[in-house]
Amino acid sequence: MSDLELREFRTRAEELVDLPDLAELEGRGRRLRQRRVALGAGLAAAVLAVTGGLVAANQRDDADSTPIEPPDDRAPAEVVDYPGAVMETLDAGTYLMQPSRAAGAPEVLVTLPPGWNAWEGPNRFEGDLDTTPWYAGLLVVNVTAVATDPCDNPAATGTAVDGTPDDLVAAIKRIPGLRVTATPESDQLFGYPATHLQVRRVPGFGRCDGDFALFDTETNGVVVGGIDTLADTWVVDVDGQAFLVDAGVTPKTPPEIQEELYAIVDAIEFVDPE
Amino acid sequence: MPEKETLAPGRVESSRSADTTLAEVFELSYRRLVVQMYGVVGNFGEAEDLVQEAFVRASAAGGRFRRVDNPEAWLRRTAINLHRNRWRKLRNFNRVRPRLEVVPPDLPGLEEHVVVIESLRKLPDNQREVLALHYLADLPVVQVSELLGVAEGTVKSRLMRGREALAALLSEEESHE
Repeated sequence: MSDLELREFRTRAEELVDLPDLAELEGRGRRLRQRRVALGAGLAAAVLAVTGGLVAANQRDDADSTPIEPPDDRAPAEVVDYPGAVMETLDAGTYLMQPSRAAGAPEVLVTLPPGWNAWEGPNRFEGDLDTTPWYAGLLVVNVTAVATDPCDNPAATGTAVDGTPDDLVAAIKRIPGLRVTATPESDQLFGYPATHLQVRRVPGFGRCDGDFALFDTETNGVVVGGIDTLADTWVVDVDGQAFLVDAGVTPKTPPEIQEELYAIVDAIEFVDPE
Repeated sequence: MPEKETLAPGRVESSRSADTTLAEVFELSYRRLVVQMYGVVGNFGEAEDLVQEAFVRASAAGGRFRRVDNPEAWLRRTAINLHRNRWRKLRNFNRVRPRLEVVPPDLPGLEEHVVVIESLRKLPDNQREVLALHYLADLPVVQVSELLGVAEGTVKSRLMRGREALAALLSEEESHE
């Protein structure tokens, strides 16, 4: 009975749906495509700079971050290189992050509203980072090792991960000080298969009762966690290579900032380095 | 991910010629996809938004989309992925939903069948998804399984439970009328 009613519903509903203006959708598609082309041009410039020996291995050169000028008012938003941990307020816009230096590794587009700060990943806080009553931050990283001791450098004493998604999921669950608060579940995120974990960073580590080490990364160094941060974490399987997307907030993070963070996560795009 | 979908006889073309335009795909598939996504998400406005965004992505994909064997399957998969990517929005919505007295606006003119969508909305998300994809998109179990990334057995059990729950909800609604 319900099968029949579903199909009758379908038939009637299809008759009632209005077609929108395809030209408007195609226009949005063109602008999205132009933005990707602009991104490709920016990357080509970066490659030239690297081959000319102008860019240090760990730092993006200032010349690379020159915004791509839109040709007219219908042009796509600028894509600029994410500046890294420079601790300055960023303009609203779309930024290119490079979680891995491996040849052909995907790049990440992150679109930020006004007021976000440049750190290992974009973050927000009030006043000074050391005394802020709340924090919100996003990381997109390629994890190379996870901490086995929260007070030691995981680059030196941690457990190396092999870069596969399954290995990273298993390793995250073993990090001291991270409590997985919901069963990991399969997800589709950013167009790729992903495993979603909710984790809380808990206190109780004696000699390092402030921030503590979580993992070492390929391009962002050691990542530390703040006490009582609640994070939504995804291990994204980009053609077999694991990337970690981590959106963390503290209990007093204002709801509107949390909403901004979630919107930023929603808009993340992994793109090929064309 | 490969486009494995074969489409139900009589409803959708299984392939297309190389010179099929986006406009032709739009004309053929837009309404169907909106109704399928309406069933999946239970919200007509959200369904329209997801399908339109899928067409935007198709337009942006250019030649890559033109080479896809089954454009409707590509668009459906894109819309489903977009829906799943809006994870937090939905989670927030689910958190406040019990406090809301209003329901999302339905498709105008569908009053005769509104009980169906109202009943679908009352089902758990995972049951509603498989019912919509199986009965509104005509996808066999194996393709629903591939699309959602869950085991075939899970799809079958969700279908069975969903069908039972939907039948109970529909008969309850009818007894109230």
